[in-house]
Formats: sequence, C-alpha cells, structure tokens
Amino acid sequence: MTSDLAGYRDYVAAHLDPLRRTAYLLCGDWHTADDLVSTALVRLLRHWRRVSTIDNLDAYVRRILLRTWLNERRRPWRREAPFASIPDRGGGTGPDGVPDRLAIIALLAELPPRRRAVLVLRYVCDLSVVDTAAALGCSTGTVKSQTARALDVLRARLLSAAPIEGNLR
Amino acid sequence: MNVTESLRAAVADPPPTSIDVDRLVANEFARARRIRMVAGAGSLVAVLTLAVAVPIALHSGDPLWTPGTPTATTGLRHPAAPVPTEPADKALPRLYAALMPALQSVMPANITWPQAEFGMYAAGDYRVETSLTGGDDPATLTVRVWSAPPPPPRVCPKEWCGPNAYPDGSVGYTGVLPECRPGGGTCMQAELYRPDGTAVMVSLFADPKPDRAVVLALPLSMEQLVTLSRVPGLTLFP
Repeated sequence: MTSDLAGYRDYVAAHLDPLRRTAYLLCGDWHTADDLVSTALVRLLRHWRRVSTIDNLDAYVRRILLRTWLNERRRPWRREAPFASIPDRGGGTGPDGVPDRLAIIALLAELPPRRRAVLVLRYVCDLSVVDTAAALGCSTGTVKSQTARALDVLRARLLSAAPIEGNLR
Repeated sequence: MNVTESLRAAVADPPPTSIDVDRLVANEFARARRIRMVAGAGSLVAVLTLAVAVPIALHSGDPLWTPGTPTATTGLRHPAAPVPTEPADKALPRLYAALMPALQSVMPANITWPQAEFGMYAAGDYRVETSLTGGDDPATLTVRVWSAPPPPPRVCPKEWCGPNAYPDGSVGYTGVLPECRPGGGTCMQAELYRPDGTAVMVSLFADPKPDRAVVLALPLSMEQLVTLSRVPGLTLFP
C-alpha cells in the first residue's frame, strides 16, 4: 500500500496543475476548480490500486473530472440562473495580442456545459475528435458539430462585444 | 483567433492551489476506516439478529404455536414446572392409550385420520400429530403433553380467552386465530394446566384448498378440543 500511495502522490504531483487548469476552464472559478479536482483525486485514490496500471490513466482521470463537473452542475444549488443580458463582460484584447483572459472565461461560461467541455478537451488537452467523443461519451459527429458551434459563438462574441440574449445554459 | 492560445493564456497564471494531497489522503483513509467500522458493526448486528430470529422462525413453523407461553415456544421446561420422573418408554404408550379413545369419541364420522403415536420431543415433552382428511379442508391435529405452570391471564374475548377454572383445579385457555398460517389458514387451540404441573395443548390448524382463500370449517369444534385436553389420562404424573 505504501508503494501504491507513493505512486499516487507522484501522479498527483505531476498532473495537479493541468487538472486544475482544465477544471478552471470548465467551471470558470478557481475555488470550484480546486473542489472539482479534489473530488476527482479522491475518486482516483479509491480506485488507485486497480487503475494505476491502465494504459491511459490521464484519460481516466480526465473522465472523472468531467463527470464530476457535469454531475455537480445538475445539483440544484449549482444551477445557474439564466440572464437576459450579461453585465460588464470583458471583451477586449490584452497587450500580448490575445483576448483578455477574463473575456475568454466569460465567453466560455456562456457556452452550454458539454460544448464548453468539447472546446477545453480539444484545444487545451489536445485530444482528438475520437478521444474527445470517448471522454464525453458521445459520437464523433456530435463532437464535431459542438466544436463548430462553440467556435462560431466564440468568434462572433469576440468580434462584437454585444451581450448575449436568452438562456445561456 | 487562435483558440488554443487564447484558452491557455486564460489559465497561464493560476493562483496557488488549496488542494492538500496529504490531507486528502488522510481524509480518504479515515473515511475508509469509518466504513469498515460501520460495516463491521452492521455485520455484528445482523449476526446477532439472525441468532435471535432463526430459532424463533424455526419454532414458528411448529404447529404447537403458543403465544404468551415462552416455555412452549422454546421447548424448554419452565423453571417452576415439576420434573416428571416416569420413563419415556412407559409414558408414551400410556398417553397414547389415554388419548385414542377420546379422539375416536369426538371425531366426526366423515373424518379419517391415521393412528399416530406419541413421540418424545424433549425429556418430559411428548407430542402426537395426525392429519385429518375428509372435511372441507385438510387439517392437522396436534396434542402435546409437557410440564408447565399456568401462564398469566390472557385477553378475552379476543383471540385468547382464559383462564377458565375447572372443578378439578385445572385452568384452561382457548384461542382461535384466523389467518394464523401463511396463505390464510385457521388455527384453533385449547390448553389445559393441571394442578399436578402437567400442561396439555390440543391444537388444530387447517389450510384452505388452493381454489379458496379461507377455510370453510374446521373438522373439530373448540369444545371438542377442550374435551380432548381434559382427558384425565393426559398427565405426566399418573
């Protein structure tokens, strides 16, 4: 068990930062991101002896994280209230030429959860369409269509700083 | 717009994490310990429950059901009950000889029944069981003779009625329980507690035939059961 635990600690030390970044992009809040990662790591620890030897452990942990986040969002106290318009949303461009990071996070938050997850998995975690579909438990066609729609929305929002109307969830 | 670049830039400088892996591991181990303890306690409770429930369940299938008389359900002699000294090889034929004429005298003509003999259930605890056929429903008659003091008075006129005092000093109890058996059978029972310490129980139960939900009629009446329980020869202290 001690060697098992050492392996677990090594894995967490190496992957904690990427997991936090992924979680933050999904939920848009660092505290919530830490909660999500903690929950995922606890679940990983419970099954560590069984899963530590599987081929693609990263995908397994990522799937735990996604499931945790999607399940958390279904809980009543986590549900976001839809707004008719988003106040004070950032939309400018930073000094390094990329859109302001808060603006990006705000734009991500406007996307539906699974569409947001598709973007994060494909463009931050560098997963292929097939791997993204496996992580989300959907078809590759769904991943492609969700990606296209998400990019369209992001592109439109970045070009025009107009607030979004309607239900944002 | 480069989406990858934008997204990665958005998380370029994460704040320090609040995740403490050591605490996380310790909490998880503590949780696992708690679960093991609860599971262990649950198993212990289950084992104890089974240890109590199984003997009761085994005896509940016994036709000699005796609500209110723990000594009868457990088959153990009551501490206050006298101990019979007659050897079983003498008591068994004697009890049989006493019961059979009485049984033949009360049994309706249309009822047939095998000549069952008394058996010894425990030391000083004798029983005979016989099937009664020919009536509306198949029934089983059981007679038990053992030693026990009279139980406390029972509620009347509900299922159990007693004690009924008789001139010879005996006290009797009677009981009728509809649907006393799984499937809706009917049970009827007469108990007699003699002054010498002998207890006699005569019980009759019938299960309705499969095409009906209730027993139409028992082959013997309560008065006949009482008559059988009061047969003078049914004693452990002749």
